[in-house]
Amino acid sequence: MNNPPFGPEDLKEPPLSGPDFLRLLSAERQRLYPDPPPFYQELSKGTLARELVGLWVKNQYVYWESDLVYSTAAIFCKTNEEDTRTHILRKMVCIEGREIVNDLVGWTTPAYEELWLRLGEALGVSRDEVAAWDTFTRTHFATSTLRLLSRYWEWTWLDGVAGLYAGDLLGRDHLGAARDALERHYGLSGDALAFFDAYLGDVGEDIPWEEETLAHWACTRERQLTAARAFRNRLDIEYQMVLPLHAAATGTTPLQVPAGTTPGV
Amino acid sequence: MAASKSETRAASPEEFIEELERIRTEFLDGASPWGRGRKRGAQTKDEIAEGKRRSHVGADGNHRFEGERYLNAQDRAVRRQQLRKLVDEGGQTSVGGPLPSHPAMSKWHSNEFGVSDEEIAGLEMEDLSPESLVALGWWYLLQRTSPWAVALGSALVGEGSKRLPGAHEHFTLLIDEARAEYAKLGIKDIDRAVQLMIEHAPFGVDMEHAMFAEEIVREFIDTPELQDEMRRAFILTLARNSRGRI
Repeated sequence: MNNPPFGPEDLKEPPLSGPDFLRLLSAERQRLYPDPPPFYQELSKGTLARELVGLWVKNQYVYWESDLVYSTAAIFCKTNEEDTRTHILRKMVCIEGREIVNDLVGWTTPAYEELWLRLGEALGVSRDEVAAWDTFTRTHFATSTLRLLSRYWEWTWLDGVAGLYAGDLLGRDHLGAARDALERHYGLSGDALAFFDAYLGDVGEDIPWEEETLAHWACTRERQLTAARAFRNRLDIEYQMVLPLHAAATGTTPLQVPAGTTPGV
Repeated sequence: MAASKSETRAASPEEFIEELERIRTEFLDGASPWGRGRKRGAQTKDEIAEGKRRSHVGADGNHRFEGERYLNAQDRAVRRQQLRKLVDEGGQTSVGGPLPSHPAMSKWHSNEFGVSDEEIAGLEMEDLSPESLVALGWWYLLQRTSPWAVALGSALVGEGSKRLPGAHEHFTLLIDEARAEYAKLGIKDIDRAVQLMIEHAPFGVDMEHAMFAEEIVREFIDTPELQDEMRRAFILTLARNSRGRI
């Protein structure tokens, strides 16, 4: 965020080709975060108490209800390239609920936040409990940073796409594994897992256009440098977001935002 | 002694809407926005094409202001209503629906008048005119920095005017006359040329868009402070829309 601008020395090399740039991003992910966050590793093994899985649902709700909505729409507002913007618009509809366009195309899937609440209910976490939860401060700082970078001048529109790409890659892998674990170890099935079916289907459709966009538009050295940084920023944010859950699972009580300041259900 | 700001009573929704419409009428020197019939006489094909070329300079910014309104909306139901509107204007095709975005339909219109996609792409990369630069810059800042209900309520000036008496008749006449005029000019695909005009007309679902701003003003602009901000936004948007008079 505070880095000095790239100078002539940084920019003297020609840009990578589109496919090479995507390979660079993949290598960056492997270099920085070769493994899933510890919380997801435990979830996959089925070693987390059910209450901790419920805690995950409570703590991440505001991300699905508000932070993902806001940060994605902020990138939409910045995007003057129509094809990319059209893809982002579809993504916004998927997040807010495909049922929004029921009159137009007959879709019925509710918003991610609603499906997430249903997941909570299947785990025994009521809507009131979710509403009453005060988010862990590290999670709050992570999502606030995502909002800042997406909304203001820190990220360009293309940096924002790199951020969406990083978020979707992690979501595909981590939440895909979480879905399997919830089915295998925690006995959930059917409607209880509808969130994952909707989300994983959507990011599966989004990742290809995000790759195409980055391969095409990150066509200068400077664009590649800033988009790669945004990609790394988003990886950091996603990992920081769930870190306090691991702390809670290992006996430490993380700090929480002041009571009543998390947006309610 | 004059009443302090906190003692000032907010106008009722009816009073406030009436006041805003009174401001509009005064701004238009007593005329209805739809009471004047067609604004222009018949134009040649070249004149229409030239107007379209001007409209493409600097590219379309629908997503900027409609997106800012969506982004800032604090009421979930309103936010989702605005997203539905974004789909209509940003392209129903994004979700598998039939109609493309308003900017794409504007290009259809231009194509029918001989302005190619390649030429449009070049125009979109050109600098805005100085007047458009400052008028649009102000407009986007208003959407970004106003209280969210004021931003959405500012649509009362443009889209919201289509709920007023005479709008339905105006657009019916406008589209009928355009069809007749375009036929005389030898336009090949008249349906494609007038599609955006139809989308802007207050028929069917677009009447819902026209009512949206009034609903927001009635429900959410309910304090003297918000009404002050709304009044100012309304007046400045009237000025912005008056183009040559700003």
